[in-house]
Amino acid sequence: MKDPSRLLSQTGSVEAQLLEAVRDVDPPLAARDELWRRMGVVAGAGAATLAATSPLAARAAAGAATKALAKSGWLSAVKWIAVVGTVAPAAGMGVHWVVASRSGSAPREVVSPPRPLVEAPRVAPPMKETSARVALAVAEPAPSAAASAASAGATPRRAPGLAASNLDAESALLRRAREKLESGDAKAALDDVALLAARFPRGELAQEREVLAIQALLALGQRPAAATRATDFLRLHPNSPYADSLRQTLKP
Amino acid sequence: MYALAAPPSITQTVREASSAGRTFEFRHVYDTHFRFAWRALRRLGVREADLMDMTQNVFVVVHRKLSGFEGRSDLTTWLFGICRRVAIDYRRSARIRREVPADARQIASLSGSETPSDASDKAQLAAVAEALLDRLPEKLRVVFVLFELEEMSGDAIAALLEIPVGTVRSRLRLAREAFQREAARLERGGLARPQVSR
Repeated sequence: MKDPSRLLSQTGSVEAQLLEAVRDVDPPLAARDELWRRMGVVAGAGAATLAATSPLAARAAAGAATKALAKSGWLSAVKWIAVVGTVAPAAGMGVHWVVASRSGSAPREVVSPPRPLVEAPRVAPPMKETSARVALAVAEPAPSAAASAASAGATPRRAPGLAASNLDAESALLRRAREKLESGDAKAALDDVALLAARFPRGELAQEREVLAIQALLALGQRPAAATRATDFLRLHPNSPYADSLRQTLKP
Repeated sequence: MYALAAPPSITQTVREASSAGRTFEFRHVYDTHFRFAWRALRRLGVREADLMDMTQNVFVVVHRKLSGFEGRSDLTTWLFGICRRVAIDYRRSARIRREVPADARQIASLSGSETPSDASDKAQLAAVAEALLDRLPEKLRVVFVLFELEEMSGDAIAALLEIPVGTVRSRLRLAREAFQREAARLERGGLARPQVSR
């Protein structure tokens, strides 16, 4: 039995016109390069990392931020603002906000002008719960979500130009942490993870950071802590490329 | 011992899988198949606003699985299978319903390679068509998209979806009937039909 003729071949019919219109839709010109950059395949000094950031993270972050605040308390919040104050000049100026509303049909982009230093903490994106746990695990001041209330529902992303340099820095730090873990110093790796969480709370490599932390905890023999974090991770990123191996890890 | 796969590293990024003299390198696959994946996801019901995220998800999977791709199927077919699974997850979790018609201006501003008015008309028509596709159940939709838009044969679709070719044909028939029914309703003015300048 032969295949029927295609609707597209019925030139002039409504069906053909509709299908032609769909067939001819192409991605925006810069989309390919932009996504490559976003995926963060960054060739550094002999190493590269693929950032497997899940879009679910953005949605989960708003809810998780509230918990992070409850866990960390106000004293930590003050410290966090101090940390942001020192980091923001390098990382947060001229932040490019992309408001990707789930109910809207396309992202709206608003480029904000460079902000004065005093406003830096407002630019700081909310912490994820997982990041807060990282900080707690190594007794670092836990970042707070105090500044995030105003931006709940928004997804801040860095401008492409800034993203490259930030991603380079984040990638380098993650690489260092991984090297420490591979050389057997899991504790030092966890310290770097905490540093990463503080400097890049919504970093492109947030998932890699968390997976590394779980690996480090396992290496330290802290299986319950690792399992808790893996569970949290899976709740936030059920479709992550790391999800399968983490689920394996969770099996008794 | 709790073995956990290490995060992807450059060794994986540049790792090549070869079979029958063919090699697949991630960057090359990305460059040559980005457009394909983006378009496939769109045809499978991923909304404009989420296309970049879902395309990223597809290539994260490609990155992870490329070394295991043995070239037993066509790379494009393999990739379409990944797109399909990502799109199914997406539709399941997001419970997406496209508005009919979608905001043509937003789509036109992102798509345009033609003259503005023409692109706008076409984009609006595409948005309507996608909304019609959204009304098809997933199983019918995927067959319809593969046959009508990807222009695959019934046999190839059967192989890709691992279903009998008879099932492909019956799903295609049902999908076409539904699509044609909706298109006819569109003609009668049941939906706001966009102006087409041709």
